[in-house]
Amino acid sequence: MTGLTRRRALALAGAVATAGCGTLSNGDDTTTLDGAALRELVADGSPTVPERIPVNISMTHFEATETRARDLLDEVPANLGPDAIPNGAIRERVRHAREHAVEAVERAANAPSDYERLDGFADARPEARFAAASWRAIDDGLTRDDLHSDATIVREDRQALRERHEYLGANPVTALVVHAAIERRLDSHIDTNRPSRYRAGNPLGVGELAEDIERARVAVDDAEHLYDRHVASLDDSSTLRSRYRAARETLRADFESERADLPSVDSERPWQVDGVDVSETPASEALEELYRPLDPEYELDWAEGSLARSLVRAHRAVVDLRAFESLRSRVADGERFAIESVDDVSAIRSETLGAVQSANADPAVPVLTRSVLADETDRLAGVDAELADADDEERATSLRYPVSTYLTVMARARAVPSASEHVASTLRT
Amino acid sequence: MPSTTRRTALSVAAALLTGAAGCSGETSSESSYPSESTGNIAMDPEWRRLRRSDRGPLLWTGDRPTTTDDEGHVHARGHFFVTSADEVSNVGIAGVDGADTARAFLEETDYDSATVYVEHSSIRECFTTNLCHVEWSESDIKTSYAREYRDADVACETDARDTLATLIRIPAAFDPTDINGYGSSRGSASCAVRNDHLRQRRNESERR
Repeated sequence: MTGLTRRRALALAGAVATAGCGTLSNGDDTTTLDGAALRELVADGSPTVPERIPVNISMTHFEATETRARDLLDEVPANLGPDAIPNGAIRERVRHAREHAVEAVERAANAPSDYERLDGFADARPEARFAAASWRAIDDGLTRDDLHSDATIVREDRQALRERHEYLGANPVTALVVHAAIERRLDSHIDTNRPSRYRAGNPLGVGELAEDIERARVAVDDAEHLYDRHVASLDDSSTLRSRYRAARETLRADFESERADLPSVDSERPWQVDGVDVSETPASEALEELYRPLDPEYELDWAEGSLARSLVRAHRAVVDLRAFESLRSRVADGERFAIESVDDVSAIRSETLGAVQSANADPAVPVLTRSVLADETDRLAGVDAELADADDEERATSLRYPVSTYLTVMARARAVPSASEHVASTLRT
Repeated sequence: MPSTTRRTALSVAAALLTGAAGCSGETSSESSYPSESTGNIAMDPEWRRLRRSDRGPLLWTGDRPTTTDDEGHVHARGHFFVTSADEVSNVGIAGVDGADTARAFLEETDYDSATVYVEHSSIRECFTTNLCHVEWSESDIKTSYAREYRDADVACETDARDTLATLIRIPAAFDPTDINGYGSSRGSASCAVRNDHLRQRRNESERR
């Protein structure tokens, strides 16, 4: 297994950050599980599905982005001491940013797919630029004003790409993934008028702005490359715009009709099923998480905004809807998913791994299915990392949240092939 | 002219900061907004600052506290009011940078229309704070600060702490005798942001 990818690190951070939520149970918290057995359970790791994109990214582009990242790192002395930066807190910030960027560059260089490699450098460069620009502000008097021309150039480049970006593609499904990746990068923006977190003259304020500009720079450069390579691979350059718009309307209508078919759900207690009490169990947490994006009162209106991204969100919404529906049915059928022993955790985890492997092997629409699985396997790895850190005597109640994540991953993995087929067939119609 | 009977001689408040004790860390922000919406507020009032790198006293009333005293630490977090020109002579100031300016600040205050609140606090050596606003009522006083990095060329270490004293010229003459609630909050947001948040909260509470 390669190092921690950015997404995996984020998933882990999320799992750890919310872990406390799972410990709030007021139920029977006296049951404890053998921590060594829990650690053993996750010792062999879990399946990973790297994020991929159906574009052949050129070696030249990889070299350029990697060189840029390493050049930025080279601008900052590796061993900054009190002579270089007397203020220890500022010195620590610059040093840590450089260290994080060094680690991010190494992770990117060893990423399991070309696309994750591209994303990895896109993550590393802003932090490297923060360190480099903060140091240049101290060492060479760089100011925020000096950076404004860089910001203007990025804005102009992004605008130019927006103007020439068209939803070209021979295959509406594979092209969707490419255009959503381009849109995600074009939707980023830099606000040079945003109030700085630092007072005027603080070198970290210069680093802050340079970081924002670098994030936008790499986003625009990568978007441009993905778009040009995608277009170059096409014989037929017809636009998919009207097809995508129609698909979005159809998917929205289908989604609403499918949601209306759900048994009545109390949005305050989406885990509540007549005659069954799963409160304070992983199932209640999982049902709550799956329902959150479905709640008509709070859901994001994914039928607006960037076209390709909204279709990707539609896909996720269908996955969540079907995952919620299936998990709720299992609860209605009497399954409790209670955690009273390591065997209970093991059974749920095994079922989750099986569901992920089965979805990954599903041949129907891998380009859509695997984009969901990439996120879900990151979450899986996050939970595994948490269990790998289990106390020798782990309270069963503290496992409620981690195990609920297994359940959501399992439910989504089961739902994703049919959701992918539904979206793909709508796109092809 | 305010009544001298209402304005007691010198009010020394050695109570520990209470209002923001749980959230006055270097990066966290905001203690709770006082319950009474009728409280007084001074945004960006005039203030002066003294600083030292040990726990010794910066400003005091009466006899100078000894640094070896167990009270020394408490003193570093204590606070008091100066409500008349007569009281100024009773205020002791340590011989640190800015002592003369602080003395002049006390002497130049018009106590017919202002009160000086002196507040001590502890801060990491590489940081400083700017005073954003002060809120007070008959029973409570609360300050709000924006934390900032000191300049890059200030030699300091991340694990060292300094003592700060802030002299705040509150633009109102009042009797602090009944003040028994002391709060202070600090965060990394700028004073402009912190003051905006306060205005919004007050507008919302007035609408209710």
